Amino acid sequence: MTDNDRTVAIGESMIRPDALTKVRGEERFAVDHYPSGLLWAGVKRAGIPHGHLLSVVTDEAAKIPGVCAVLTAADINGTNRQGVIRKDQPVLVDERIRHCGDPVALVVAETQEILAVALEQIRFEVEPLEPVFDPCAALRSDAPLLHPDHPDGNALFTAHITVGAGENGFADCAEMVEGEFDLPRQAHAFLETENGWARADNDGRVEITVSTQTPFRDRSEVAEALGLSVDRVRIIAPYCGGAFGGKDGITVQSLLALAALHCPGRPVKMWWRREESFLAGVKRHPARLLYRLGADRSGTLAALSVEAWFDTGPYDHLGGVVAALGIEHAGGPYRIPHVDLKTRAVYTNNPVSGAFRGFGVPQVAAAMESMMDLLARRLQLCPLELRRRNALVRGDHCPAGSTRQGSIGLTACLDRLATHPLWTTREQWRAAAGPHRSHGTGIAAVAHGMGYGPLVPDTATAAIELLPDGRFSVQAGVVDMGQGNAATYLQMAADILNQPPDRLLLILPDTDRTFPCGSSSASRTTFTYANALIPAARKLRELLLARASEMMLVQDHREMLLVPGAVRHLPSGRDIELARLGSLLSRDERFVSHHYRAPAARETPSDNSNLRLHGFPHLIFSHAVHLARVEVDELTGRVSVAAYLSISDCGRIINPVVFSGQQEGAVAQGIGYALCEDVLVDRGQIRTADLATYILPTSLDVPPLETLAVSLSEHDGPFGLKGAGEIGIDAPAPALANAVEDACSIRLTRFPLTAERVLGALTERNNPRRS
Amino acid sequence: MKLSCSINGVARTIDVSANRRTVDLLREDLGLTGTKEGCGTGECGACTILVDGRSRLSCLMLAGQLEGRRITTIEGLAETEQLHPLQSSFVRHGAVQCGFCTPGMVLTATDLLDQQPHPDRSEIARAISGNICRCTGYQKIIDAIEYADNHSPPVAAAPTPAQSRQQRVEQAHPTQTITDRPVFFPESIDQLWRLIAAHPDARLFCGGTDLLVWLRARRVDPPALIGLERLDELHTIAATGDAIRIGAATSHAELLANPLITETLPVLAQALQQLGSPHIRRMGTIGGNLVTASPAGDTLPPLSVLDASVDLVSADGSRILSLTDFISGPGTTALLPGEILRSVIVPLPPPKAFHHFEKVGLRSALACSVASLAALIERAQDGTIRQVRLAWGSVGPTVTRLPEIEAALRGESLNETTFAAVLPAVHQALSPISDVRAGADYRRQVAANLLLRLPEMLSESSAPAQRPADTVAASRRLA
Ligand SMILES: Cc1cc2nc3c(=O)[nH]c(=O)nc-3n(C[C@H](O)[C@H](O)[C@H](O)COP(=O)(O)OP(=O)(O)OC[C@H]3O[C@@H](n4cnc5c(N)ncnc54)[C@H](O)[C@@H]3O)c2cc1C
Ligand code: FES
Ligand code: FES
Repeated sequence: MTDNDRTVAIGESMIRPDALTKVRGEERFAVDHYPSGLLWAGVKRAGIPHGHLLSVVTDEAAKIPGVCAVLTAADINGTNRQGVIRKDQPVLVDERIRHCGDPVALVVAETQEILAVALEQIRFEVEPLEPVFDPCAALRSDAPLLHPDHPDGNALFTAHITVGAGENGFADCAEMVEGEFDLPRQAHAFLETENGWARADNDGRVEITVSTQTPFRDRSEVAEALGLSVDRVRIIAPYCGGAFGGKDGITVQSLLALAALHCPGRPVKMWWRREESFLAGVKRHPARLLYRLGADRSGTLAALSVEAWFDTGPYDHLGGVVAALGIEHAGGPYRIPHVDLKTRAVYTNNPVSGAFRGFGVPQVAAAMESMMDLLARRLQLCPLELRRRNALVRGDHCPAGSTRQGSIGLTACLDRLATHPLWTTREQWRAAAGPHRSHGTGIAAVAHGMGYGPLVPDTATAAIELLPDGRFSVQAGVVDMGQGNAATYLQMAADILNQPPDRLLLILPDTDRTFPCGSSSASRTTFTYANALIPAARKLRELLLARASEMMLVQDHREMLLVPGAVRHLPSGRDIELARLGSLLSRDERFVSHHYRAPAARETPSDNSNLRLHGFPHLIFSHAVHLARVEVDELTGRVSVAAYLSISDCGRIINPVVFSGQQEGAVAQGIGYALCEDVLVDRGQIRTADLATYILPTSLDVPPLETLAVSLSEHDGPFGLKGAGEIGIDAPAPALANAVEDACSIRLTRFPLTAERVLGALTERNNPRRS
Repeated sequence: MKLSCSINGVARTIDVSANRRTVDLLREDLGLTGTKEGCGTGECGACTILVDGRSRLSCLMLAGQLEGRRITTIEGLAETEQLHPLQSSFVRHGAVQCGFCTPGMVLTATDLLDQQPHPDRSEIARAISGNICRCTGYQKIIDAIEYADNHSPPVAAAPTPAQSRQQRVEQAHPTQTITDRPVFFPESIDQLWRLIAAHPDARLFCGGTDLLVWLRARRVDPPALIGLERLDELHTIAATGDAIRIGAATSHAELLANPLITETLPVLAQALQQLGSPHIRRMGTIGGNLVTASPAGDTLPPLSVLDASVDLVSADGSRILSLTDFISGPGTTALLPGEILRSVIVPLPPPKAFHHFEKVGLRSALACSVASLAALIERAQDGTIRQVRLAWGSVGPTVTRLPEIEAALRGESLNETTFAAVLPAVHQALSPISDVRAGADYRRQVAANLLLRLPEMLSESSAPAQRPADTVAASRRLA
């Protein structure tokens, strides 16, 4: 057997096939296409936060030689509305501008230079409207309305959950701590900015190749917004150059389709520059959170009250769902009998918020885990002990009221932490600080629910086929945005079919060639698709063994085994090549598909059907405990992370390298969220619209990361796995805030913990009278 | 222009505007889309290529700069169908997630290993600090570079890629007609003067790390460009009696590689170590940094405490100005039309002086200074301060010198009490602005606080002048 015939098993670090093409620069991302005859499309953006659009003057631009089309809302035949739950976002502004990045006109030109000149020539008339930027202010009765047709005014989504005695639970609490938290607007800052290219044929069918996480949903959204029937739209989704939620939903798709339909036969490309990506792309929801947490003297949690405001910007995008997931996780992974939770996603004239890895949980986890440390201090309890004492176990009610039915590895994570050197040597670390420096250690524990929730069907259809040349093709209609799920699919299929991975081909999402498989999001990507793929692969295996046994005149197909490249008859050692089998069978005989729908919670802890529609409650949760070691420079306020540890319960690990890669990447993003990343917005205008002012962590800002897992097996999970893509970003912010307090006794509740804020708090600590 | 250069080992003559960005030439015209663009402003490293074997950012280079050069893109790294050992190591260590940063990372690492075959992890982290990866958290990339052992068998070649490399190049088709802006690269000073005379409104540039960012943002729109990089006499570093003369076109990295600079002018070396990123240090020049005259320009405070002056030359003659006379405000210099900065003249500092530079930025690399302090201190026999020069960056319209504070410190003992005593006066004297990076109060407070670091640094370094520049960052104990 040559090296290439080596098969892989579950639990082994299989090499990602996509890495082989990416590392040579040969993988073609959406942005790498420059078909000949290419036209360039670009958007004129509003530049003001709120106003009535009265008219758009396009003549000057249209006259420029080389300009092929100048389009406005008047050129759109469909609903001109996009969105997932509430379809409230126009492709091109028809009536009202709601944020500075709103698209007013679309230009198609022969070259990028002509495009730039033409965009400058477009004029439009607006009647300015009073804008509103603060989510609390937006809820006042006299606030200007962004969507006058929305029955709840600027309150896009509200929910109230009471569990036990709710607020009254505080009556019996011996101790109570309070906190008010502000979480920033984080940019995804994937390296491949939003882009795609499209071509329409003369019959008005349009093909769009786009960097997206949601090809099938995009297809319906584009069709509806532009008034096309769904079969007129094809979406092709190559590997994404990063996405993290920022490509969950429409970016360039409808604009490209519109441009292409007006220039039939010509390929049209749109590629947002970094600045445009900041201006028009979505961000993590900024949040304001009010917390009260009560406990008895021994540190058993008794009551929790949370009020949350999520700033969704001018459109729903996924704001309601984010607010719902946030509130479901607001109480952390603990038993708390009396709980009162209020959440709202609020319309404002700020930039659009949307899905971002963590999806509402990093915000509430930052608050809740800070509260746990505040309480531990108050009770003079060890923070780890307080968490252990209250950690959820299987069968408990979670703070939002639903029963945790799936596997819970939280206590195992906490126990593992308790014996880890980074925890046991924390006093040595504290003592090792040099002059003007202080050292501290912080921890945080989190849970993260998986999937779409009870109502929206979380489904996938996998298909697998033996090709006439003896290889297999796996059709995955769900995107790999870099997290490595595609490789995991191949690994599973390879394991089941006992083939080396290079005998398996992956068909990337294409609405014409693959089946719908839902979005690449919500930590459900691998879980749901793999649960469809595994039965498909097993069925195909059985089918091939049966056919091979018939061809070899063998009675019992249990005497047959798939080996690399062949089916072997064990008693005789005879092989039949897969290539032969593939060429003899008709496609129907060597093709299997399987549809899977993920289990959903049957419980109805809340009778709010809108909350259920927005995903509450979830059924399966991953868990993690993180530890951060920091050094605070007391002269500058700079926080540097010296070491970082994550211990996760994400079920069984299929590919250890892919798993740790997910945790490490999420932690690095979480460190950025905690310490330096903040899209600053001043009266609706973004002030940090490039990578010089929006501060991403570099290789010198991320410490050595240690990644451990407690490998429980989840019953419903494919090969026992649970979601692993998001949980890593939930804990860094509170772990770091807790570490900073441990280091120098300052409690910061406004994130990120910039040097400026830290130095301000240190100054206050040193001169308490000023506060 | 007819551009002659070698691309991935093939000599080529390409019809392209000299003004075209290299990244566009490679991606659009030549179909070499392995080179990525993530920002267009030098901030991400996705567009990294090798020019004559050294890493360069192709978004901040014009096609004209490639004349006669040897260019390697990711497509040309592996000479056979097998992967290059680094590529193979990236694959094996899981250093590739979305893969968009990967080509730039691999090429940056190629350059590193070429110069330093066995770097340790912190050297690797430093070398890739100008390459942003949003997916991996960098650990596996550092692993891949650390263990990119040349002898390990490369992993199996990729399953037949959609297009072979050769085909990709042939697909090439120039799609753009550029509004042509002539770009000249004089090779002699006389030629330069003739060009300046013929194109009086042309803009000079050297490394282009400032100018190309401004061109992209349309902050400037000159009718022509004149590149100074091929003028040999702007590249010299020479000790002349009691001074060191640094040619204006010397890059920050060239300065850091020169023992004359690192041993004699540690305060400058320390500042250069922290300037931008490895790529920016390769491309950016000391002349460009001075002429840009940004309040945050990192070479300004050290050159100020070193009492540097500038040598300006035009077709009509030359003149020498002190740094203070040369830089008159943010972005403004005494440079006259038709005049260039030829060299920087740095008098030799007193042999046993203590040199220190600290920059406070918002991160550990690619950080624009929020406040910085350069200090040059001479001690008397009894350990008191005989002479002290202090210069702050980013807390005023240009470098801030406070002679009254320097006077107050003279004769005092070198301890924290001494510096703490002058803090209020320093506070008073500084007049920073608030911007998107930091507020004025913070800048003022931090700028003053940086003085409190001096006693610690002084005691840590008994022989400061010998301190190799490389340990400077480490001794700052930023993770
Ligand atoms: C990502 C990034 C990070 C950066 N980080 C830093 C940083 O941390 N610290 C810092 O100080 N700077 C930083 N810079 C700015 C820049 O890199 C430096 O100022 C650099 O030294 C400029 O040199 P250059 O040769 O590239 O200048 P160019 O862009 O070539 O020129 C800059 C200006 O100087 C003029 N000029 C250049 N040479 C001459 C000459 N010999 N005679 C007359 N005029 C001349 C040009 O006309 C132009 O106006 C950064 C830039 C980028 C893109
Ligand atoms: S594209 Fe980001 S550095 Fe060149
Ligand atoms: S792998 Fe995605 S940016 Fe590095």
